[in-house]
Amino acid sequence: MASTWVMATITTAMESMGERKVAAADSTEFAEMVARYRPQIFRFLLASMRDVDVAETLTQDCLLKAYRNWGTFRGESSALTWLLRIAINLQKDHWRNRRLQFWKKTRTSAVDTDDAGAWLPSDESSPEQQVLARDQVRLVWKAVEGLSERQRTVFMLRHVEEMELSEIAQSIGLSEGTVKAHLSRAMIRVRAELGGKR
Amino acid sequence: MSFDKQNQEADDLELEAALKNFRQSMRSWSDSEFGRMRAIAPVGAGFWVRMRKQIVAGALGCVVAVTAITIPVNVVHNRQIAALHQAQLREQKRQADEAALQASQVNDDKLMADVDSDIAQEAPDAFEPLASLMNDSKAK
Repeated sequence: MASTWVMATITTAMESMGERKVAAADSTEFAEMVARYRPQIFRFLLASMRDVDVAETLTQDCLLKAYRNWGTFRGESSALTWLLRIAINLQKDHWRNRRLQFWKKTRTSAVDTDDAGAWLPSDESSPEQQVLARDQVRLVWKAVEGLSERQRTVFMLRHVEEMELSEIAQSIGLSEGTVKAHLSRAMIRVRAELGGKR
Repeated sequence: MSFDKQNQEADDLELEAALKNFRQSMRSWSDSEFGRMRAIAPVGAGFWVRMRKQIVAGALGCVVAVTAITIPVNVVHNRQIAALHQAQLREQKRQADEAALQASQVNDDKLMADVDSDIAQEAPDAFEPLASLMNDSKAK
């Protein structure tokens, strides 16, 4: 289904670039991994970039890169950590790329923090609670906007993906202590934003 | 419990609630967008789309190449025809002038010969009887 589509796309892309195919057994294993982690990779990139088109493109790039290097993956870390590491590097490259500096400034297709905060599951909560929740989400987005790239990545991995500090450290390639420090600074900012509304 | 501690706890609860809402919001947004991620065209269709694009690009390339070659060739060809035409006209004019010159020369010569002949043949009336003798003596 969806993973088959992605695999077909990746295989076609690889063939068009004249690259070798991964063995069938490995390919099945990879397709399973894609089906499992693709939504999570997309969500992390969407949260980091706040841009659906960019998140989609980077997700595809991430899977393509992963497919290319699947043979070198030794399972020393979890597949998700490995994929996130690739995604984080792609995200960094995306911002660093000088050709995209213009887009970074304009962010034409990026969603506004107010719009991003409008997404709330419509559970049984009252309209007042919904308004309160929406306001809180908006303030968190506002705080996130002011974070550095690394702080934002750590914050998203911790509070959206609910990853452990050790996993985050592995994904980013930093020590656990550094991750803790980044997270602490990010939380101070979020707390200040939430406290400032009162 | 002190007032500060109560305040701190309230803040923590609010922060927790805000982070939970943020997570839920992010997940529902991502799920929604992921659900309607762009459909990927099947490989076969992609092949034909690529082929069609290549054919169109090739045809356009041919048109441009043919135009780029034809226009200068045509210009050069037209210039050559014009030059040839001019040369032909010049040649015709030269030939006409020459013919006219020759014709005028021939006419003058003939005219002079005719005049000479006429003068020679002419005899006053008084010598008419002798004229036939002159002819006869010439014949002898």
